[in-house]
Amino acid sequence: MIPVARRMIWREKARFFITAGGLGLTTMLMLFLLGVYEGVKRGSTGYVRECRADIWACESNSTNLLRSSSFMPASLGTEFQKADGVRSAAGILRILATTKIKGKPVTLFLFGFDPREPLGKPPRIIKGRAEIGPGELIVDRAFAAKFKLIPGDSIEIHGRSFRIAAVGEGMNAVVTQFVFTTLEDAQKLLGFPSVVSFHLLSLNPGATAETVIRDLKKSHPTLSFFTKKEFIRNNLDEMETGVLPIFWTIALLGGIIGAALIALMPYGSVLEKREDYALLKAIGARSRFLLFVILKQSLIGSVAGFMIGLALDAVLSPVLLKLVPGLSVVMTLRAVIVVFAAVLLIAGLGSWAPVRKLSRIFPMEVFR
Amino acid sequence: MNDIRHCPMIETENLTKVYFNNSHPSVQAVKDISLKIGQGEIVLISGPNGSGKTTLLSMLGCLLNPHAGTIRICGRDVTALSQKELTEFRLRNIGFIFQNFRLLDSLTVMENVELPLVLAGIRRPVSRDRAAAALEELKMSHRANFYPNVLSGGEKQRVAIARALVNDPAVILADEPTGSLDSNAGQATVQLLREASRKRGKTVIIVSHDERIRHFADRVISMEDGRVKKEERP
Ligand SMILES: Nc1ncnc2c1ncn2[C@@H]1O[C@H](COP(=O)(O)OP(=O)(O)O)[C@@H](O)[C@H]1O
Ligand SMILES: [Mg+2]
Repeated sequence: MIPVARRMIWREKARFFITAGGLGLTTMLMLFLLGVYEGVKRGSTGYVRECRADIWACESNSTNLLRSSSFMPASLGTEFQKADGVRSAAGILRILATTKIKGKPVTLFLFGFDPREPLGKPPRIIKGRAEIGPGELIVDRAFAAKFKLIPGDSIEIHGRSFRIAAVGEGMNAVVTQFVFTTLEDAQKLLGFPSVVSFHLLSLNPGATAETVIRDLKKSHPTLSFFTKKEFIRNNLDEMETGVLPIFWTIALLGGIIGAALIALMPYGSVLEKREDYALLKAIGARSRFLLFVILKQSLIGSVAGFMIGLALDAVLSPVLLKLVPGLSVVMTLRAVIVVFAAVLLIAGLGSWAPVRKLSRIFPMEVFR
Repeated sequence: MNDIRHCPMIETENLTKVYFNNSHPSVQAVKDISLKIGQGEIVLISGPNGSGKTTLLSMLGCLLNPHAGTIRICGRDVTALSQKELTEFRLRNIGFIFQNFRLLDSLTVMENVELPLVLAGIRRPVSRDRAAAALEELKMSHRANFYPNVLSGGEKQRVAIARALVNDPAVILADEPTGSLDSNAGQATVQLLREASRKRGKTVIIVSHDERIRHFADRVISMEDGRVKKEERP
């Protein structure tokens, strides 16, 4: 075989590199978006995944950590602890507190946990200890970087001064980060000393969450109970309803731009090399052969663009992560496959216009 | 089945072509032409610009449907064939040579000659060997791996002749083959075309208003205003 498509591309190197480069940028954008999405997804469920609770108890209409208000008596913990199969229970309190950090107004996503309990602690501490005392805070690394805070710094919350005692990671909530304090301090800030938002339960070996939940629902019909897996799912759903449409819109725009770019190359080829295509038709090239010449040009351009995008992403992602401290980007094989599939789809769509143009070239035109 | 080798002739009956402009008949480019061309015959169609030569040649080359009349190539009525069948028919049975050479810039000389073989499904190394032999015969072997843009006009046309011959078609059609060449190169090129075709018994139709190549033809058909004005044997 003669690689007609490849030769035609190579004859117009500039056009090829512009197309592949543009598609590379589109690919990078899509990879980056998916990476951020995966990062947000993992980040915002990190605490739920790692805080060792097997069951989450919430007020009846609450389903997640991020955007529902749940309050219940702290004393329920003792009741839960007595239930069959439950090893331990610990309450956490979630409040929103507005404050100013270095002059900037900030809404804190504040969690109060009991430092003496094994459940509910922020799981990944990278500086200091999780066992904090009164008036102390644990902040996320990204949060610390964003506000240039280091352990020992103080933040004033509702007139009280809190000292940063530890820095952790994996405490993200979509675009902001959780801040942890003691349960007692959180209750004082709220003004109700015996209230918690959620009870976290851990199970005895051999007990299954489903059975325990069935029993708990009987004794506490006004509360909701979720297994760890369900609660992770709930938090993801909550997050996705907020950000997914934005991601899809950007991805779609990227796709359209990519298709337009990739169409440019074979379309330009058909326009400028009209007489070449007419000649091929005249000397007996079947429609299928010509279709492949176009599709191959699109495909080569797309795959080259994809490779460039992959390389750009690998080079630029670390730089961006340095520049934007709150950002976490997680690259998965799945995302790479999804983007590759999208690029192939784009190649197909991008071939439509040139193929149409090709069908309007008459073999008779070789005589012009 | 599509192969018409050893068949005697091209035959047209009352061939007519009207070009339409906005669906109003505007130009009657070919009027009522009936021709018989024998196998192995070399025919020159001459006549002034706009006399309908290229239109006639396009119809004989199965690139253009006549408005009325029939074309038989080796007894086969090609006006009855579908587009797809016509494509196949051209590939197997007709070699084309153009005024502007129409070589693909993006392919080497060798690949340009190989192209009709590739389209016919013939693979390397056979296609390569046959293309090499065709180039050899046209004395273009030394340029096989060059791109056409570095060749002279005469060299390009020799490559184009090699491409027209390589698939071993029964009929070779050439539209103003000397039109882009100087006098010497034009004469030499037509001489080569004549020799190569004669040796293989090809039927050749050359359209040209170049008077200096008359003597290469067995028969000269003069056209004027879409009609055959006279026929002579030089
Ligand atoms: N595609 C076309 N549409 C309309 N008129 C055409 C077309 N092609 C050729 N003609 C007209 O048909 C006539 C014959 O043209 P052509 O066959 O090219 O003559 P020649 O090759 O002898 O110069 C001319 O008047 C020309 O203007
Ligand atoms: Mg002409």
